Amino acid sequence: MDLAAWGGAAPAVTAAFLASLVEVVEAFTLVLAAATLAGWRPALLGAGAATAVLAILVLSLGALLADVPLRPLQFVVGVLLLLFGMRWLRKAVLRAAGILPQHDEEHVFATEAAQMVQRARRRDGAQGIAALAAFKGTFLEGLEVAVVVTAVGAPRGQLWAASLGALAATAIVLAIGLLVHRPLSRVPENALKLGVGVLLSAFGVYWTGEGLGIAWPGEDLASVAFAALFLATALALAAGLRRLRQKPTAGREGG
Amino acid sequence: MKLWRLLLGPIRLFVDDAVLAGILLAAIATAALLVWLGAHPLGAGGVLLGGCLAALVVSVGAACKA
Repeated sequence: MDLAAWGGAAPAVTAAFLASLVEVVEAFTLVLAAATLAGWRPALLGAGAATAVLAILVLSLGALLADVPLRPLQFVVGVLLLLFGMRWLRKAVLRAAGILPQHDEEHVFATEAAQMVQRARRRDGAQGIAALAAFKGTFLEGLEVAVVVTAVGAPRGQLWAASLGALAATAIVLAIGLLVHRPLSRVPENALKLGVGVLLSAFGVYWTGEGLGIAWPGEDLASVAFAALFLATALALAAGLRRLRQKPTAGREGG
Repeated sequence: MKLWRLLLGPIRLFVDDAVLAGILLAAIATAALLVWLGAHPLGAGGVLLGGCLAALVVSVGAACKA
C-alpha cells in the first residue's frame, strides 16, 4: 500500500481506531472485574477464547465478502453503519444533554464485580463465573468492533487498513490498562462516541446511497459534508436540550 | 403489529430504540422506492439524509418526553 492509498484509507482507519478505542475500554473493564474476582488466569482464558471465536468468525466472513457483488455489499454495509452510528449518536446527544448519565467505567467495574461475587457465592464457582463473564464481555464488545471494521473497510478493499486501526486501539488500551491496572475512567468516552457516531452515520448515508445507485455530488467529499451536518445537528440538539432542562430550574430559582 | 415487531427484532440488536430504528428503516425504504421509480438520484439522496437527521431529532425528543 503506497502513501496515497494510506491517505485514502485515513477515514476508515480513523473510524475503526476510535470505535475500537471505546469498545476495548468497555471490554477491558469487564475482564478486569473478572480478574479481580478470580485472578488473571480465568479472566484471560475467557477473553482469549472470545478473541479466538471472533477471529474465526471474521476470517470466514472476510473470505466470503470477496464473492459478494459491490452494490449489495455497499448497501448492506451502509445500512449497518447507519444503524450503529445513529445509535451511538443518539446516546451521545442524550448524555451530553444530561438526560442519560455519563458512562462511568469505575461504576461499571464496581457493579460487574459485585454481580460476579453474588453469582459465584450462589453457584460456588468463582473461576467459571469469571471466565464466562470475560468471554461474554470480550465477545460482545469485540463483535461490535468486527462489524465496524468490516463495514468501514470492506466497500473499498481497505479491510487491512481498518483492521490495523482497530489493532492499534486495542494495543494502546491494553498497554495503558495493564500499566495502571484499574478501569480507564479518564477516557472521554462520550466525546469519542459522538465522534464515532458522526463518522459512522456519515459513511452509512454515503454507502447506503451508493448501494442504491445514487451518485453523490462531489463523490467522496459528500461524506465530509454529511459528517459536518450530523455533527452540527447533534451539537445543536444537545445544546438546545441542555438549555431546556436548565430553564425550569432557573425559573424556580428566580420566582 | 406482530409483523412490525418481527421485522424490528433483528434490527434492535443494532439499534436499541424502536423510534430510531423505525424512522431509519422508513427513510431507507422510501429512498430505495424513489430510486426504483426513477426519481432524480439527488431527490432520493435528500430523502435518505433528511430521514436520518429526522430520526435522530425525533428519537432524542421521544427519549426526553419519556
